[in-house]
Amino acid sequence: MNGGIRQSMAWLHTWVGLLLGWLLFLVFVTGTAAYFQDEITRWMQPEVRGQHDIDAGAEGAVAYMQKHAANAEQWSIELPGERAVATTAFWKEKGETFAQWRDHAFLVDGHGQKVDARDTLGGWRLYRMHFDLYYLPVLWARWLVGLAAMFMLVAIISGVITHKKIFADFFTLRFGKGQRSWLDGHNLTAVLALPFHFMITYTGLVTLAAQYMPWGVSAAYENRAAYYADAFGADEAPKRSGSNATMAPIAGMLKQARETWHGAEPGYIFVPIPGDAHGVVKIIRSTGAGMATRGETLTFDAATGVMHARPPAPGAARETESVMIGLHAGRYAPVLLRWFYFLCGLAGTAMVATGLVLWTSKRRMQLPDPERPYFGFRLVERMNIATIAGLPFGIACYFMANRLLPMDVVQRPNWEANWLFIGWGVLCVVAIVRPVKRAWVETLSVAAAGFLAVPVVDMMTTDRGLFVSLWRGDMVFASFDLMMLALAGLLGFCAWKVHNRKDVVRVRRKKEAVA
Amino acid sequence: MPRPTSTGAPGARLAHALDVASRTILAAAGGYVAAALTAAGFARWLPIPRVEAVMTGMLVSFAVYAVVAIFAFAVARAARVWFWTSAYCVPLGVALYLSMHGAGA
Amino acid sequence: MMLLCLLTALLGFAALSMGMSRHQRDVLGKALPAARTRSVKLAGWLLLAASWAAAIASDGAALGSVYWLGALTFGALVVALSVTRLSR
Repeated sequence: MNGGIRQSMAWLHTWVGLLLGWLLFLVFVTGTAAYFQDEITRWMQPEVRGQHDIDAGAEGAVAYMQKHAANAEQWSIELPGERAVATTAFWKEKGETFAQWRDHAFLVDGHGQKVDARDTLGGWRLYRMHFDLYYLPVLWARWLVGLAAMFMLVAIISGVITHKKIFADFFTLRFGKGQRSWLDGHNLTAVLALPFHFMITYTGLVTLAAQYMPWGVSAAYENRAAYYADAFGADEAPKRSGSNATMAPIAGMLKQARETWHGAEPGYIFVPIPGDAHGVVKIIRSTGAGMATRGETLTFDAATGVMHARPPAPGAARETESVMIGLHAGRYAPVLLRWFYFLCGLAGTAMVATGLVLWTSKRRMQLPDPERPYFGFRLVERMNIATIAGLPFGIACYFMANRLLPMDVVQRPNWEANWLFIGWGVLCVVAIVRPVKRAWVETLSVAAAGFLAVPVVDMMTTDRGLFVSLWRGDMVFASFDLMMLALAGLLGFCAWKVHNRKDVVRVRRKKEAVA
Repeated sequence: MPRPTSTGAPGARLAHALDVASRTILAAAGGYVAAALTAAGFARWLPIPRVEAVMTGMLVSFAVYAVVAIFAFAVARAARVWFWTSAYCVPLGVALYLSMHGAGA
Repeated sequence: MMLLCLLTALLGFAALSMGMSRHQRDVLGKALPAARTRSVKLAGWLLLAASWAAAIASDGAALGSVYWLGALTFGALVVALSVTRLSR
């Protein structure tokens, strides 16, 4: 290949960056949002009150299910993470599949009381969208996202190789110089958070490695079940004895678990065959309790509350995988570090966006006929507008739908998500139909207005609006609404900047006409 | 990789397109094959507990994929990369096959 | 200790930027002699290493290293913006 390695790497970087760039934008946006998924979920369920209290949540959930699901096949309790309040619990009747879990799901608030909150999947839905996308079979989505991640990894490596002045230009920023500025913006957001970008991409691949690279399992094990038993503990469901026994108090088991884990909090409770004399209670350490995200499972005798022997500690490779996933998800991160994760995510989002715009910005100079660009250019240009402005607007619509949809809508969580895509779709149409510069200004303005509307709608439909939250010191709700305003400001600023840009091409043509 | 100018001879443009296609296949498919074989090889032959070996192979495989993909476009002659990638994959693949189905299954 | 980590990261990047002739001219008005430049660059790297040490002392190897990367990003950004401002 002629041209030398820098040129070939530049070519490669452009292609792997462009082909799935819009998907990568979505992955970055949803992933960045997911760092605050617990806070988002809290905002989207304003009916849930109280503070974080694991024991109250666990006891409330157990009490409810002892009353209403005594003969169920399994109880599942998801305890709130450090920044969450609600405990989610559900049970499975005999013969049901996990797909039906939401039929028997309920929430327990921070006081241990069952609460009827609006049906929503909250921030968790955005987190799942990050790798499951939406409207697609989950396996396909994960393959696609995995491919995008692989493209991203190659883009990072080729980007570093090609950026020959990566050290010379390290502190250089040029504003207002057209294509040069886009390149500087792309370089800055890429290089400043380069360790993060590299880490997040590689660890992202690792999180779904079992799907992408199952060949080791096939080569060393007779079947996948044997591997999972070795890696994560066999899931032997105890056999029903037929005789009943009341469950020992859950608080005692939680206390033992915390002691065993030197203070780390539990995250999940599973009770297979509840109420049976042979029953066990499995308590799994919270995913956010340490950088190694995979938590240990402790098993207790349900009737007596006595703890069984601890499972063996995982070896170095499994611990590494656990830490890699933990680094990616960032659940261990305390508040300052979490904001840093969020900022790095924003940098990554900006990196992708500036890269996409840079592509058109650079090639606009080389267009033989600026009034009629070739199809590929027009496609990229329109997709840029549709995605970079459209997806954020869609997310604002998701939040507004949470506030505005009636409580009794069937499949309410699905409708909240549908509204995300409806809002995005509307801006896609604007992006395609309007002249390019106007399309940018209009879509960015609408997106800004969308985010501005969220706190307003919040104030009008709940009693936990921005001013009330600030007054009460409810920092989660206040921060959310303030973040909406900040995003509105950012998008509005972008819209204003585009609006004021001088049309370089037009000016040049006028000069030619005069000459 | 410099784009061929629109005034290039059609032969040159075809050669260039074939070169790109060849490298792309090598990077996309060859990279995956190399990564998969590496994962399987680690799983089977690393002298540590099975579950650990499988996990190590998985963790390392993506680096192999990335390296092949980069080399597919970095090296001046595509044939070289095809050669070295095949030199890695074929013996490894054969060895794995024999190990799993033939001698010492 | 974390504050020390942040501060040394900031100063380290400031020194590294001053170890580059282009930024020397922008900020100080002239390029520095080679020996000076070398010592400034060395100081920069040492300060970054000190920043890492401070982070580890504060929060342990794993968490500390992650925080250090955060401090580096913060330091690099502030210095980049400052250098750009000062070169106007």
